[in-house]
Amino acid sequence: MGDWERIRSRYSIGAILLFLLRFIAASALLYLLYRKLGSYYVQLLSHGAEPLLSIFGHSIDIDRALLVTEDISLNTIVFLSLVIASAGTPALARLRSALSGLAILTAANILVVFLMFLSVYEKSERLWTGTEFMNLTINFFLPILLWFMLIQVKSIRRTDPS
Amino acid sequence: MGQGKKPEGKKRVASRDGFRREFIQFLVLFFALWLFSYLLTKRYPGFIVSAQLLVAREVEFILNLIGYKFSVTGSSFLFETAHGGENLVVIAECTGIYTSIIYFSIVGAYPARAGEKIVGLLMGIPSIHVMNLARMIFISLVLYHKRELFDFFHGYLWQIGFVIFMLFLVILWMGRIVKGGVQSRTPVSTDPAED
Repeated sequence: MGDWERIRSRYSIGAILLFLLRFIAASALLYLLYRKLGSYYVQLLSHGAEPLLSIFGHSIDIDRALLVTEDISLNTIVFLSLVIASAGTPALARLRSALSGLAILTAANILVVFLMFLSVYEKSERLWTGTEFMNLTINFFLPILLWFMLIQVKSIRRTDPS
Repeated sequence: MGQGKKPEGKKRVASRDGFRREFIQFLVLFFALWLFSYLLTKRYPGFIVSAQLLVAREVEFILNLIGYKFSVTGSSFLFETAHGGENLVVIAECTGIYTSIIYFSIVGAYPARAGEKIVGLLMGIPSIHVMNLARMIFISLVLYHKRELFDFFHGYLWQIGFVIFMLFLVILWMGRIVKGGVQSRTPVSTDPAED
C-alpha cells in the first residue's frame, strides 16, 4: 500500500466528522484567544516587515500595517487547529510540528506585509498582483500543505508497518 | 514479502521515493493550475464582477424571501436595521471564487482518474458556492440583529470556515470517491524482490 493509499484509507465518514468537530472546537477557542491577544502577533508581523522595507529605503506605517495584518494572520489559527484536531499523533510530535509550521507561516506573513507595502510605495501593479496571489496561497493553501507534510505524512511514516 | 530485511527495506525506500516524486509532481501541477487560473481572473476581471453580481442577486433573493428590508445597488447592500443603516459590499473574496479555484487545482493535480476528478469538481464547486451563500446570508443576519458580533463571524467564517470546508471536501473526495491505483501506473519500485 502506497503512502497516498495509506493516507486515504484513514478517512472513514466517522473519522472525518470527528476530525471536523475537533477542528471547530479548537479553532473557535483559538479564534477567541486571537481576538484578545492577536494584536501582539499582528505587531510582530508589522515590526518584522520593517527591516525588510528599510532595505529598499522605505519605512512602515504601523497603523496601516496593523489594519492589513489583522486580515492576513488568521492562517496560523487554521494551521494550529488542524494540528490540534489531528488525534493519534503523539503530543510532542504535534508540538514540534506546530512550532515549525507557526514559524514558516509567520515568516510568510511578514513577507506578505513587506510586499504589500513595497508594491504600494513602488506603485507596482504587477508586484501587487503577485502579492495578492501569494497572500491567497498562504491563507487558503499553506496551512493545509504544512499540516499535510508535518502531521499526515510524518504520522504515516511513523506507523509504517514494514 | 517477508523474505529478508534488505529487500523489504529497499522496497520501502523506493516506495517513499515514489511518493516524494508524486507529491512534488502534485505541488508543481497544483501551483501551475492555481497560478494560471488566478491570472485568468486578472486578465478577465469581468468574470469576477459577474460572480460578485451573481452572489449579490442570490443574497438579495433569499433576504427578500425571508422578509428583510434593504436596498441594493450592484453588489452593494444597504440594510435597514433596528440600529440604523448598515452597509455590506460583496467583494471578490466574498464570492468563494478563489477557494473554488484552489479546490479545482487540488483536485486537478491529485493523482486520480479523470472521472474521479470530474465527480470531485461536480460535487465540490457547487458545495463551495452554497456554503459561501449560507455564509453571506448568515453574516447579513448578524449585521441586522447582532452588529457587535459581525467582525467575529466575518473573520471566523471567511478564512477559517472556508479552509476547513474545502479540506473537508478534499478529504471526502479522496476518501470516498478516489479508488486509488493511479499511481501504480508509475512504477515506484524496480526491486525484483517484489515479484
